[in-house]
Amino acid sequence: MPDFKDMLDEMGKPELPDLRHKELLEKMIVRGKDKSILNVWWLAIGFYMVAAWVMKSAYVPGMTLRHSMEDYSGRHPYLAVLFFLVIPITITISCLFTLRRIFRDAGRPAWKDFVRAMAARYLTIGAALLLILLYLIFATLKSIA
Amino acid sequence: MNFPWFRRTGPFFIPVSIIGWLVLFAGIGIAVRLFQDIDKRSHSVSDTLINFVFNLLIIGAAYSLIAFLTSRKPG
Repeated sequence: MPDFKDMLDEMGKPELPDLRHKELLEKMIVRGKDKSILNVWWLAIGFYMVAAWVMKSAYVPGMTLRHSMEDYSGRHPYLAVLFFLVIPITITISCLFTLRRIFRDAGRPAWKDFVRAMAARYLTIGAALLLILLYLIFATLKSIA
Repeated sequence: MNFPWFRRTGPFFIPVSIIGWLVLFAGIGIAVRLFQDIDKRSHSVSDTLINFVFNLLIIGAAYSLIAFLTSRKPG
């Protein structure tokens, strides 16, 4: 029996030099960064349009952001819905799913650290929500008028 | 198909295979063609640039979507 105990002490705990879980998490975070860049490209289209309309309202007398947006929505209703609703909603849902998965796979870290590490994702969600909000405000104003 | 066609460097996807380069050159070709078309119809330089940058963003977004989908490493 003492021999068996010594043998167990010698064996110690089984050790894995590389954790599969760590590798997967690393891959997921890198993939997440690639997706963030993709999201930025698609959100940039909506923001470029808003920026152009803001400039137009500043330099063309009698023009406002609301007029420009209503004019664009009237001329290209499907494109307006695509750039200001479909794409931002898709990006928001995709970001939320990725954040949930990373949070779970990272072993539920502290909220503060997690938000700091995933700041780009939270900013992307914020930007997407801003575009949706802008469109909904102007759509509501149009329907009231 | 042999992936990846692209690898990400900062905000851009750089081609790493012949097909990747073909996609990039196709994007540049479409951008040049669009620029000529917009320039023919516009009334001023700012008119050309405002409309061209909008189209360039759409081309960039489509290119990055293709690059994102084809930059996955096997395994």
